[in-house]
Amino acid sequence: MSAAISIENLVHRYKDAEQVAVNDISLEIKEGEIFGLLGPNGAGKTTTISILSGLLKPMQGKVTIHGFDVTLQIDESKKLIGVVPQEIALYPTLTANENLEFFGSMYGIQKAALKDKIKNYLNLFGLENTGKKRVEQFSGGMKRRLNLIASLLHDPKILILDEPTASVDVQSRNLIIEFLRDLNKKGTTILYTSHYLEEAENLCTEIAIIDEGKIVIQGSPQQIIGSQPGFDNLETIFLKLTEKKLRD
Amino acid sequence: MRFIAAIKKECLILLRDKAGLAILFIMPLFLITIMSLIQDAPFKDYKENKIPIVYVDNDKDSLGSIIEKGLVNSGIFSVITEIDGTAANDENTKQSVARGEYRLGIIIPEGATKTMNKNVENRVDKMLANFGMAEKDSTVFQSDSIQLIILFDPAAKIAFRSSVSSTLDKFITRTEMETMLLIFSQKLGEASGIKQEAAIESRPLITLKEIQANDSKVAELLTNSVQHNVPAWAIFAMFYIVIPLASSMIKEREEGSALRLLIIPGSYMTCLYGKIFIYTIVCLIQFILMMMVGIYILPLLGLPAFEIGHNFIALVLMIIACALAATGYGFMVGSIFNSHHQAMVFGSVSVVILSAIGGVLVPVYVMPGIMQNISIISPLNWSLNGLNNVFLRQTDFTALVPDMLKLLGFFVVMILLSAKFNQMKKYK
Ligand SMILES: Nc1ncnc2c1ncn2[C@@H]1O[C@H](COP(=O)(O)OP(=O)(O)OP(=O)(O)O)[C@@H](O)[C@H]1O
Ligand SMILES: [Mg+2]
Repeated sequence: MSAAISIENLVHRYKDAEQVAVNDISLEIKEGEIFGLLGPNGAGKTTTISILSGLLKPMQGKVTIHGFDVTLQIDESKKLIGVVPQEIALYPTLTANENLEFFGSMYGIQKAALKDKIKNYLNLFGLENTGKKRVEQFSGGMKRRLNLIASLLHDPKILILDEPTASVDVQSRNLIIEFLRDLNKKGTTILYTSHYLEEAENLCTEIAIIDEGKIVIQGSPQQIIGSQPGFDNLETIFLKLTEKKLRD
Repeated sequence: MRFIAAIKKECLILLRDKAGLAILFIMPLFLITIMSLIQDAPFKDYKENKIPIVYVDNDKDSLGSIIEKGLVNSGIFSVITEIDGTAANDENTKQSVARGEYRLGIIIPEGATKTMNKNVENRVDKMLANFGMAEKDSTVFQSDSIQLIILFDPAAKIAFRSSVSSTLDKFITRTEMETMLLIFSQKLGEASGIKQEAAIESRPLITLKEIQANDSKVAELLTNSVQHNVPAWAIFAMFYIVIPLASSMIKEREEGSALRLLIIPGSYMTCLYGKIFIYTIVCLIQFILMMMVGIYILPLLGLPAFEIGHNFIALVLMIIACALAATGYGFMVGSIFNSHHQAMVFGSVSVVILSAIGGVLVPVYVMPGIMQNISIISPLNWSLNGLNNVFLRQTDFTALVPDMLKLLGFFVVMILLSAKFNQMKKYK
């Protein structure tokens, strides 16, 4: 399988920040994988995703998406990805339909096709009766689901999700996880971050744990568990590798 | 079309923002109505209140009456010849002006006409002698000067004194010249005296120009509260778009929708252009509403109706230029600042300052000289000046070009600056 995302020696430090947020990371995410990028708070997950989506210019290193350099061939690389941001990125005073119609049009999707898609996705995520409701009246879980739909409308080859299951109930979480699994079966490569290690262990085909901007361990969940004698789940390994102190 | 979608989104958001709509449309309507009502009286004063001048005519001859007529016709002075029921004389005039009851008094000395005529006659004789004879007249010409007394209230400002003095000066010189011409022609026996005299008196002896700002016609029309306040506050409201526009930009960034736009190729700029487009349209609608209030509502409140002029094409072009400048400004503020608080404070204070400088609060022509010079840096001044050109001066299109170019240039600079700041935000 060829590389969907390739990251080579990526370094990024925010302006005015003392520490580097991403410290020499190299990764290859193959087409068809569900890749889990795990790590404690402040590990550099969102920073890495921002660079992948062309929101941040990296200080050093090279990042390509299906061969397109994210800093040089911005538009080409952006077209291939769908990004679900960690924070809700929707217009609160617009309705669910209006939000999806707007973002869909921004992707250049034809009106009729877009309407069908919106209807299907709203049904799929249990939002079929809330299309005419303003997003500001949504619950946190509903917003998360809508936030996800807004990134799917253009059928991206790669879906990048930054904590899609944070602060949602078990039902919503299961729905999202099942959806991602299905989507992956249909051929979409998935890169996702999470703080739920059990969820990642079950879902992902490949995992990298990062801490303080560096990759601590990488492999399939089975490989990682197998490489640490005396540990039988990801969470304990995670705690051992990243230690117990609190992060910022 | 992506641009259409961006515009639609912007409209929806705007229409659902009730507070924003109030700032955009209700506030300016109140401002215009209230300011026009409040300033109605002061503007009338400025136009109608004449400076009382106590006039003592000891001459009781032609010079005295010419000056009196001139003062009356000037429109600046109201001539007073009685103080407390008694005819004004040297004594009571001096006293009442010294006490500040009147700011100005003029005493024409006895025999002023005779003296003037004698002077003029002497001069004419001498000139005729010079023309007609080879040998020079040996008598030395002696002229008695006319001692015209101007009394000022001790508290009167120097500027006031000098402008009154110079006006009167010109007055006398002119009368002297005209008398000289008259006598000259009489002596030459060419025209009839009566005809000449009539010709002199029918001439305006003094004009407003010496005292008022150079643009007397505009000054006159502007001394109407409605004519000043309607365009002035309409422009203020247009530039106040900085608040809703900057707020909408910052909100978009805070809410994260801007982030999503940045991820969709090419959509961020499309949306920003959509914003500029919509807010420019909002400015235009605002302006039209303000004009309507001026034309239809203010007269119902006993104010004069707003005069819109006749050059509609020039008006439309001028308003578009103003709207673009205002939107550009809001766009720049929305691009520079990261927090609502900063943008709101900077936006509102800067617009109030620029409007004060630009002649929105009080017209530029009543400002002190230095401020009049400073006023040209304010885009609100360019807007107001350009619009007044359309409304009042009824000038042709070419006269609008400088202000229009300044406004469009301002718009371009603002957009370029914003692009710079937006770029910096993107890659922080
Ligand atoms: N805009 C910023 N300016 C300066 N420093 C930042 C900025 N954003 C993040 N950082 C710092 O960069 C580091 C990595 O942050 P990042 O958001 O990538 O972590 P994360 O792994 O996504 O954490 P979390 O799980 O809490 O979302 C942290 O130390 C953080 O404090
Ligand atoms: Mg994060």
